[in-house]
Amino acid sequence: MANKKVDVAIVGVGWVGGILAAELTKAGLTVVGLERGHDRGTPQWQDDHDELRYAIRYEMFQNTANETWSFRHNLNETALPIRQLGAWLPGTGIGGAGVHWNGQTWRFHPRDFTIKTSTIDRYGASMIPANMTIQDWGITYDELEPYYDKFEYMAGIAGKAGNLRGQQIAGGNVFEGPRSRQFPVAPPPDTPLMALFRRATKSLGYHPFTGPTANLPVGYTNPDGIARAQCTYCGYCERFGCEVEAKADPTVTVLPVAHKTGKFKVINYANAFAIKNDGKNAQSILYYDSMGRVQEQPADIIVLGAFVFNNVRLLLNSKLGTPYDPTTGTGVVGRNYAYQTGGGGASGWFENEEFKRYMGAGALAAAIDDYNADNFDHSGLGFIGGGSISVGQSGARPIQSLTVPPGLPSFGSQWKAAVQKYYRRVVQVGFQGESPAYKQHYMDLDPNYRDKFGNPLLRITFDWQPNERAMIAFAGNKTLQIMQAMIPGAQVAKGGPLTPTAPGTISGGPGSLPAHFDTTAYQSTHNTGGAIMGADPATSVVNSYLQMWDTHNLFVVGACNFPQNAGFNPTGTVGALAYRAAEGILKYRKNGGALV
Amino acid sequence: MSDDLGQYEGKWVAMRDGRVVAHADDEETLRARPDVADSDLLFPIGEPPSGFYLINV
Repeated sequence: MANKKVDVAIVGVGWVGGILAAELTKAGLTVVGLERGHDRGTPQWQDDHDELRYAIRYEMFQNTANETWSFRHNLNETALPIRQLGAWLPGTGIGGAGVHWNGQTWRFHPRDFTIKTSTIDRYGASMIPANMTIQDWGITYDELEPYYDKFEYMAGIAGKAGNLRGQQIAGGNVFEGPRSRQFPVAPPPDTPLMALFRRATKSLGYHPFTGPTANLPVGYTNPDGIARAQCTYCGYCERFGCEVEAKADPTVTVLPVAHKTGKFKVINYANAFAIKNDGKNAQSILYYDSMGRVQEQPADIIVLGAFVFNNVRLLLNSKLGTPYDPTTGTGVVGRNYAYQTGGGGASGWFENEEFKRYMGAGALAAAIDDYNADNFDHSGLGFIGGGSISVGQSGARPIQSLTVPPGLPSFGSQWKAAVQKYYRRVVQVGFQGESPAYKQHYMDLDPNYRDKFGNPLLRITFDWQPNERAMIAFAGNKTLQIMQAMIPGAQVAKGGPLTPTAPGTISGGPGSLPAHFDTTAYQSTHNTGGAIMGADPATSVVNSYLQMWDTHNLFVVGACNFPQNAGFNPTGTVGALAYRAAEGILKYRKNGGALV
Repeated sequence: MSDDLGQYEGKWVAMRDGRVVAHADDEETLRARPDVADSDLLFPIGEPPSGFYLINV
């Protein structure tokens, strides 16, 4: 027997599910959220500084024994299942990845939303490689700005505007799009490391600023009346929950608001596997309960608000939308899978300066945006795109933060002595790059492998491309230059003997990507695409309200909507899209039909 | 010249129209080769990542 029908049923109770639950229940709708994981909250994080349990053994992440993905580099390979977590770490449980994130909360650039048009306008069509399928979002930055603002005030994002209603402000990110108002919270003060980065990048003519953060530097009460405390800089953000609620996450911001209305219900251990539909309307969510029994949750409106992979897999399993065909370039579901291009960073080991690296917060960082997006002239460089460059102080946990300069042993007494010496003296200038979309990068259902319930795994086809290789080589030279300004006179390690009297040692230079994408080592959880938004049903799954073109009572929301990925963390944009979808759902509820 | 980039780990390659046309141990040597054109895309091929790489979720 099916559950009681509700106004809205949502798959996934992370940032998207939480925001929608809060907004829709405040408007009087009844909402059910289906969450595959367990309930959890702040009390569980009081004693969670266990790096082995949470960061190494992946306490908060998807269990690949139950559900995983298959992966291949190109159409000629047979995909194999990913049996252990590696390159990415999707969360599970109430709050989703919003519980274990770091809190970096960016807005994408205006150019990111019009990337194809802007690139052609500035450089001509020949600048875009033949197989690159980047496209405009079907929504502009200015249209999305009010929703970014809503997310930031709900979450209490700390930062300094660099562009307030079109006026550039020194000390903020002068490359960002216009903000309608200042951040809700002032940025945290610089640590000595951030101050050093700021001085070094200024001396090179760049425009440093404090990274926008969801880790509260002071107490904050948001427009819903939710009060949260300031950060203690314990350094356990990424892969951990926050025991003082300083890090904005759905369990301490939007979910309490939804529950307070009395109109929101969560069903835990609910593994959604299909959306029952008649081709025009979504009718219910089919899911396995904690006992593995099939259950049904009917609703007038259904939202897919799970992680990228799960949203796309649900569409494909439910035969909703036309699956993408990479040989013809037709179809939409699974199209434009993209990732995040890392590498291109520089590491520096100081001989004469120490930093309190053990203190920090996930998004405590100083950054420059001079080499992101199209903020610099790409003429003659042979690539499009860029990335954010930053130095972060997110904490230095005892297992994963023990690096020593190149050339020193990786075990034994010499290594131990070097670890003791350099634990407080190593810093990294990181680069987080764009990932354009390509014709051959996509997601579909695997013909060979299935999950524990018998449903096909999602198959991912992806590899590094020349455009990103050239971008990373370029970025590596820039981060090296910054590191050299941070440690004047330092030697650059090139495989030969090192000089003991140098004031520091740097590992850096032209960045490189491996011959093929490697799924085994962590790189980023910023997977995007597959249910992309746009202005044309022939090249997108959803419209600018995240409403499915062919099924009007179905909304698909998340990073799956990104037509390609930008050089920033995605959560700010995911939050903005969730607020946009909430508005669309209320409009649909009132008038029905296509919203665009 | 093979297009299997795995053969060039640790080297620089020059790519033209999606094909590897030359390779060398470093960028300077590669650029100096007569069969490398100014318009070729030059980049190094790295090795598979090892250990943990925190890019921040």
